[in-house]
Amino acid sequence: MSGSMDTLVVQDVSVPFGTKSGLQDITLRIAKGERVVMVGPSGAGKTSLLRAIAGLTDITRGRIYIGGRDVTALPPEQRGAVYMHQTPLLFPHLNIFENVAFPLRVRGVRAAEIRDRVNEALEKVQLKTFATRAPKTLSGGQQHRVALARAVVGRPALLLLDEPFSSLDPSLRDDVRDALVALQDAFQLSVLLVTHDIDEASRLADRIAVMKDGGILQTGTPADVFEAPRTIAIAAALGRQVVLPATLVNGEVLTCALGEIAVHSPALAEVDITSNNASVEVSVLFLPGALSVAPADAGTPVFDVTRITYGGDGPTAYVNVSGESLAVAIPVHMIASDPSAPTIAVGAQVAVHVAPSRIRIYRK
Amino acid sequence: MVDSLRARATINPMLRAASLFLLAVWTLSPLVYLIVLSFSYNWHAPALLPPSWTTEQWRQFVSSASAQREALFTSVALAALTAVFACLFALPFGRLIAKSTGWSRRLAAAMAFAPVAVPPIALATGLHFALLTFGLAGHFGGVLLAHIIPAVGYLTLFFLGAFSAYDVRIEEEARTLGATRFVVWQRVTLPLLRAPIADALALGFLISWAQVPLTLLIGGGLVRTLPLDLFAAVRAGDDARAASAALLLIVPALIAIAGVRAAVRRTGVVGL
Repeated sequence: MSGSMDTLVVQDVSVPFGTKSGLQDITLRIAKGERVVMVGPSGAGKTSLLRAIAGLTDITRGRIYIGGRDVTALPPEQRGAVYMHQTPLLFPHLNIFENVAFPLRVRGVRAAEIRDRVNEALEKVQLKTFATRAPKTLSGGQQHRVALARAVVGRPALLLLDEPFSSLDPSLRDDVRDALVALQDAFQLSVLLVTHDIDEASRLADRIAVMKDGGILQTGTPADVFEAPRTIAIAAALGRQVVLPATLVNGEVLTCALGEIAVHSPALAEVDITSNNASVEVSVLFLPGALSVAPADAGTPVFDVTRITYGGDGPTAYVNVSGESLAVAIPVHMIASDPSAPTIAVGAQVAVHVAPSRIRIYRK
Repeated sequence: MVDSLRARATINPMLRAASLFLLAVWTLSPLVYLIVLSFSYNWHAPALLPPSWTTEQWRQFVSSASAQREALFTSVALAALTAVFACLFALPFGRLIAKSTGWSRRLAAAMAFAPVAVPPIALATGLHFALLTFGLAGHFGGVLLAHIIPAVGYLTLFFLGAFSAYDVRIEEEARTLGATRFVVWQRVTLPLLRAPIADALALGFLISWAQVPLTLLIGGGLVRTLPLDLFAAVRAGDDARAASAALLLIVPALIAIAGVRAAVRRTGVVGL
């Protein structure tokens, strides 16, 4: 049975991918008004799960409940879930008003109510003045907003969005994200969204579901998932790939290519340090902010700087650690005020400082 | 786009005008000759123009007992019915083939292409014996069936192209927006395919309109269409009648082409 508070309940659902096994025993719940973002590598089964929920792909076992109803055997039009593709698929033969009115017209809603509801939805996405325009005369971002207005105007219980912002210019993504959030708040919708963009996931999600190889590996708040990925595979799926092999000695000290690191108890994800094993081989995940450049010092290992970048994560040095290139943040006090006289340059030798609270330890 | 503009800019205007004039002479002179011939009386080489003019042929055509007018009606009925029936079959076939993949797609496309590739006379011979068996040879229905077969082949390939460019995801989205299969077909698919359907109807009409071997063999001379009337007039040396039949054959083709162009301009959705 579905939980009474949940808009969506996916219960032990399996979906084949052609002749392959595909999705296996997926279970997922989304509460009313909640925004859940699914992330994971290509081929993980994210789109297949969305399509199965929408009724566009057959499932081989399990049940799907939307709004408390068992919709497993219902056709897409009776499920109360709107599926939106990556690109806005507006009907080119209808103007903007009629596009948004479509879900209401096919349900036989009265003309006066259609007018009010379409105007309200178009107002929410700030496109009311575009009502008589043809879709092709709108920009990509505007078309996305119209598609969102059309998706919500029929008051569906659930919105299924398959990488809805990936085809947009980065400068337009914020506009469309804002439109989605405004519509969701206004209509109290539950949203299940697929994305490859980890930043987008962390910005939009109430909860994140990490998928890989046809299964959901972890579900939780962004803080849970990003700060404490349950396994190395989940960390990799989230793009957290700064991992080094290490030896955990007496549950207190990690020895790795960066030197010796004192262990804080929150760092332990999979390894039980209370057992006081003398020596355990582990993998160490360095979360963002775990590594920073430090001046070379006597007694600490030093590494060659191979590259320096100034992207969105701030000034970053790439250092060569046992043949691997590790991204290490350059702290503010080491950034030169005069760019022509940098304090760190390619070829320099630096030490790497590790913040022990920003590491996670996993069994090898 | 830029290349074509550049190419246009570099063509000498005089050369372009001369080319257009030659093209017009090349395509329109037979038409002008047919018009003159249909109003001529006793016109023979080496005279450049008819010695006298007459409207006799056209008066005969509009008279109630005109065999040529009857042939025109038969041709119009055959072509219109061929276009409609061929579209009804070819549209779902084209969609089915476009949706399939791998060997089934290649096999189905090859089957659709077969009646197009086979020489019409060979197809007509095969059909002739088949329809004789069912007692349809020499009947309008038999000729109609014979015209539909190659038309379905052409139109299936045509719709295969149209559906290959068509994004079926728009139908999926419409379903989740609350539309049933039928409503999606009615409110999304058909309006989006208006231009290709108009094209296909015109194409189906023209395939039947110009058909001679199939009509001749299956109809056995009992079903007389305009092209057959034209042949009969040429054989009988009745130049004016042949000219009027030829002109009547040209008119629907021009209307069909103009109609297709207008439909594509008007809807422009999946125009090919």
